[in-house]
Amino acid sequence: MGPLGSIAVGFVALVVLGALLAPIIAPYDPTIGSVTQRYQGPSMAHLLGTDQAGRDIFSRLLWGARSSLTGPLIVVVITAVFGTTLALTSVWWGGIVDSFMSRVLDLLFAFPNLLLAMLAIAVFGPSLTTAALALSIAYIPYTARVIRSTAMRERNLPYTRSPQLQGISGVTITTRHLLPNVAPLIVTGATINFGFAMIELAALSFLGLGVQPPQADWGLMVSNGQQSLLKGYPAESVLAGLCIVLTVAALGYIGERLGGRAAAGRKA
Amino acid sequence: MTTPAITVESLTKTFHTGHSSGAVTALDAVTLTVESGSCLAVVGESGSGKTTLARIIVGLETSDSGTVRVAGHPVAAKANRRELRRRARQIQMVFQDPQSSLNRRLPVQTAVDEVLRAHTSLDRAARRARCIELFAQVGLEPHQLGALPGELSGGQRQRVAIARALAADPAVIVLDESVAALDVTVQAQILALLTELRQSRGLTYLFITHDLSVVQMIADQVVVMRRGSIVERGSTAEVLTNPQHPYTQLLLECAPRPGWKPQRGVIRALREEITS
Amino acid sequence: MLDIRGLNLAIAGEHSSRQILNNVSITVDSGEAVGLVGESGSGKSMTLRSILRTEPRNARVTGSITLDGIDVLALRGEPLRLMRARDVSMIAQNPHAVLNPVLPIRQYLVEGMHDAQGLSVRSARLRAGELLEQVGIDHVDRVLGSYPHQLSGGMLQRVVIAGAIAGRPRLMLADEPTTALDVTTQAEVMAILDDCRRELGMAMLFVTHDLDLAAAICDRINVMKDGVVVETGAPEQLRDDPQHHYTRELMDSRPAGVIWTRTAGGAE
Repeated sequence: MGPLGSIAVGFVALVVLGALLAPIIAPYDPTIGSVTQRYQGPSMAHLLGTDQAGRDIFSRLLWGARSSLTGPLIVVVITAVFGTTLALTSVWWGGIVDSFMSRVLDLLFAFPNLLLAMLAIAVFGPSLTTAALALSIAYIPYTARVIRSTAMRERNLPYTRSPQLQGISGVTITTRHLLPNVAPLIVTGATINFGFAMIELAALSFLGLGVQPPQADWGLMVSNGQQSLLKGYPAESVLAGLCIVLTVAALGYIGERLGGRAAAGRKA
Repeated sequence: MTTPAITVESLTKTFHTGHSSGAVTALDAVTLTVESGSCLAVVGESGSGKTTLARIIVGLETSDSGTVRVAGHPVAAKANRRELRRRARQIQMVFQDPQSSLNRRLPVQTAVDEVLRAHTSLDRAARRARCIELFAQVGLEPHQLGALPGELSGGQRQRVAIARALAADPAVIVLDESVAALDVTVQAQILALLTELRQSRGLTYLFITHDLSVVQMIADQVVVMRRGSIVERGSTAEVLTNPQHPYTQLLLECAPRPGWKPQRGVIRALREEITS
Repeated sequence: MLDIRGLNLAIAGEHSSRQILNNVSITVDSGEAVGLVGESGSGKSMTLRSILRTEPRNARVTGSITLDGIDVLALRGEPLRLMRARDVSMIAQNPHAVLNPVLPIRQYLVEGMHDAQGLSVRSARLRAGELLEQVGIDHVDRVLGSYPHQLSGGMLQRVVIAGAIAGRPRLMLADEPTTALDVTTQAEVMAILDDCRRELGMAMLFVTHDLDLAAAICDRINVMKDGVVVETGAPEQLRDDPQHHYTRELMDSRPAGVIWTRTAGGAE
């Protein structure tokens, strides 16, 4: 994958590890602070200092990684499962089913992602789950469309035509032949979607529509840190922002390399 | 008299391109018969309709009008899965491109195993034994069962495709440009294999090709197609040595062979004769 | 004129390198047509690419290629560009890959003559029409105004040939120029290629998998297998008295001219 790829994979692994081990390695409770400890600079006690409520920023970043990763994970899993199912069903049946699905997807396309999410939040109330579900629905058309076009090409190749001539069922052909051949694309798409979802969920949390305070979340931290930023204590916003940007960039890079690899595999 | 393996009667198929230019007639009242145990070559260039004909006969495409019978059974336009299964035991197809005729992510054995599973009640062990047997018949080693398509050569992949076709134990095999993508030396080997299989198993072939020298090596009978119609038919020897239609003459004139020189004048004259 | 001597080419892999060409020596005298016949993986195309210096980046080339005494392997930058533009032209297998799909045919021809040979646009335009007539195209003006997708493969390959003879280069390289064409179109294009080459006195290196095809228009043929030239000789010599068993195998793979012989009977 090259040196840059190794760095990207290493960084993502570190973030995941931090999120998993947060209860063990975080030195402080991320939600409890003390007024006397406000705006501390980095020290042995507080590695990255404290925020306006006197909470340990390092601990909050570790705990924040959890919601910041689970949110996009929910989005990516739902999107991949439903997007793939829709695409493959559509490709297998073709004809009216395919045209109908395409129209429905077009309709969904017409909604801006965040607007759709806000609409859902207005109805169901703000929470990470609502935000993630709403974004999933917004992402499905993208995934479905990309997979559909590849699956359509595979569908016309002799290796899927041949079992069809044997009277083998569509479900079998789709799962045994089509799915493995579009799988690399699904993984690549998911990796890239993960980055997008992370940013958009952070944006929703920033707007107060995602993760609710006093929970730790990177998007929320950027938003919380705003006031501190104006008072000359940029640490919270900047560090949380940095975490988001680096994670997204690393995932994007990994996704791109995976995509390149999948394309190379197809040629061979 | 025995029932012909394939009977095609005034088969017509038009494709609507969606452009303003409208429709392309792929098949225009095509009628032909393939006798049981023989090999009929369908020769033509791109756009002659030869591939459409093959696809309709095996059921990958539907015709606008006309009938197809395989071993006396009419081929229904819209077949359900049971009908497809029944037909698959009669007629199988080997596709052109050895690159894409096998799933590149599965061991080649799967392709054969899947057909056995669809058409027989053999258990796992028996299917594996049958796979080894089929592989041996097409000149492959048992250790190649687990290979991925990418690990085999083009010729070997085409052998797997032939084994897959044989797995259903059909009476008829449609070969759609099945050797066109192979190197000439490999081509000769595959053609020899096909000839041998036909003799030992009493198979009937419908061989779709653009290549007259291949026809000479495998077919008893030939039909020559041009723009959806059959322009000439007869025994291979007859058509290749005494072609009647100017288009057949043109094809023969243009086929590279030892001592051949392409001549603009002759080609042009024959083209004019065809269009006149 | 073209002198390839002891050419070795190896492609460096991650762990080992793969030898593609092994001590290949081929000469083409001026005005001579030389065939290079081999099956897939024989190294015939790579030999051609080395002459134009378009071999892969990770290829290691040793030996020598000289064109009229100039060391081609030492050329780079402007002299290399000039060699490609003036001395050598190339006809590839797929004309669609050569012609820009959004430009009309006229543009392709005029651009080539204007940029590479420094002809004025006006005279290049005039010359474009003449060239198309030379390659046997009837409706010159209509073809000049057409876009690649409006023309058949045979027509496009004629356009490419017109482009290749435009600058009257001394050497023409042809890489399976008719493989993608129908049989009857192939014969016509071959005849045109042969006529043009003879009229202009150009030398040609013709790469193909089809021995009979090479024999039809070449003075001498090199038979290649696994990166080695196994035999060189005149077409008749290879046919009547092949020295190498592989040449014989190639011969035996095709039926020996039992088919129609009206040409021999004198239809000319």
